Amino acid sequence: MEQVLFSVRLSFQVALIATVFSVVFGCAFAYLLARRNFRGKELVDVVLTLPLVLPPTVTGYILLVLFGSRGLLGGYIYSLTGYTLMFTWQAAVLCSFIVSLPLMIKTARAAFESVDEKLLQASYIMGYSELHTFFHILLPLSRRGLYAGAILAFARALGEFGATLMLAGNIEGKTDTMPLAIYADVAGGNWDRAWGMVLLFTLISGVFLYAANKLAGKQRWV
Amino acid sequence: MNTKRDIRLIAALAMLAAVIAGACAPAAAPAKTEVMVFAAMSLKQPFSQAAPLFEAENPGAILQFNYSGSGTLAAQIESGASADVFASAGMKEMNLLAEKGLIDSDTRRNFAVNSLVLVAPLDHNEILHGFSGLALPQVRRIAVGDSRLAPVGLYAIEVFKYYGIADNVSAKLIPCPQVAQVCDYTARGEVDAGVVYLTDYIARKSGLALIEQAPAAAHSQIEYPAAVIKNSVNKDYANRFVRFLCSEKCAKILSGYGFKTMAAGN
Repeated sequence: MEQVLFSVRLSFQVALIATVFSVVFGCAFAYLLARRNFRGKELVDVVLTLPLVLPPTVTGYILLVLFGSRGLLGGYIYSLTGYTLMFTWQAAVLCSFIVSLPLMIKTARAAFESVDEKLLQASYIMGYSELHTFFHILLPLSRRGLYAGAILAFARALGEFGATLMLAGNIEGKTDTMPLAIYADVAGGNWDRAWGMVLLFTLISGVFLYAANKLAGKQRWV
Repeated sequence: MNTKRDIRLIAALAMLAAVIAGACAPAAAPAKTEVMVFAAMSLKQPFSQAAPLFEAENPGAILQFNYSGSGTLAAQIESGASADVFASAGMKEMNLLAEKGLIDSDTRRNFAVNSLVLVAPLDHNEILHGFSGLALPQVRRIAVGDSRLAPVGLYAIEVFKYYGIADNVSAKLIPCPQVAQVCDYTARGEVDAGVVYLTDYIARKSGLALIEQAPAAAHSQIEYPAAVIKNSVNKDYANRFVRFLCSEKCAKILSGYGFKTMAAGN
């Protein structure tokens, strides 16, 4: 039971932090994609959306090559600081962030694009900066879509499995988030405990999806 | 105009997907009986090499393999996966299935014995000279099989206890669902050492340095049992495959990958 509680707590901790990153970076990327034109824009969109459709093992492998203690970025960090993301819960945050980011970007982009262009132009004409307009006009007007995006991103972050298994490992009491603990319990024949977590997980995800639908559904009429 | 272009694009994508699927489909073969073998990951290479021999002896059969950790396989069989043969890397999983009456116990045979070795990254193994060295503070991470999922992890813990370092190393362990992952983390230098079967080291080798082979007394004997699954629909071929595993021919292949075999006794 104690281990179940640990997994639940770790899962929420990981998913919450990942969602914060996803919301911040997701809004920034969505803004650029929705309101700016630049070379390679479609490429950026494709690269950022890939984790949504790639098998988690592929995402995991790419992250391993990048962030492993001898990876392209990870090796650099390791030689400088002696710190490696590998086999830590922070690695789980990174994986959850990468896979939930596209959901946030997609929803935020759609929300930004649905805001009436005239309102933004009015703000510029009144002399407000782009940054001011972003925080005081665009964000408030697209908040429902952003809430929905954040909830979807959270639900996806909570369920991240494949890449996490490769980077964070499945270390009992250290990196075993709910999906990893369920995997180990099912494969290890510990079905009773698995059942409890499966039910809990399905229930939580269902509630979050319902909330996201509610928020996104209303936005169309705003 | 635009819709026409869209339709053309979608049609082109659909064709691309179909071409890929078509190109990768196996050539139509005459109907053969598929024999589904659930086998421990560590058996992958010898089994792939032995399969054509069995199929040559039994022209009506074609072998299909599902390789995974023995614990995972046992759970799959328990939940009703349609397997014909189970070849496990540990007695525990086979005993579990036997207790639940899921295998034909009279078909069960031990066909191979494995041993355990300590490996380290090829370019980073100066500090490590043997199992007892795992207690050194310089050794920060040790990849082992996840004892819940793969028996190799249980054997590793036995070895740690034998050397009296079990408590010391417990915080350093990185449990992996499959032994291949232990090899991979070690070869990549993500961990300082790993404990794997001798056969995995032999099969993989690249990037790995063999540090020490555990003495046979350090762990319980690593026997590989195979048996026919109770609800197999191809019991004849399944039986033949289990017997084939104990044959001289198969033993030769198995020993090529570092297994000790009992062929002489059979």
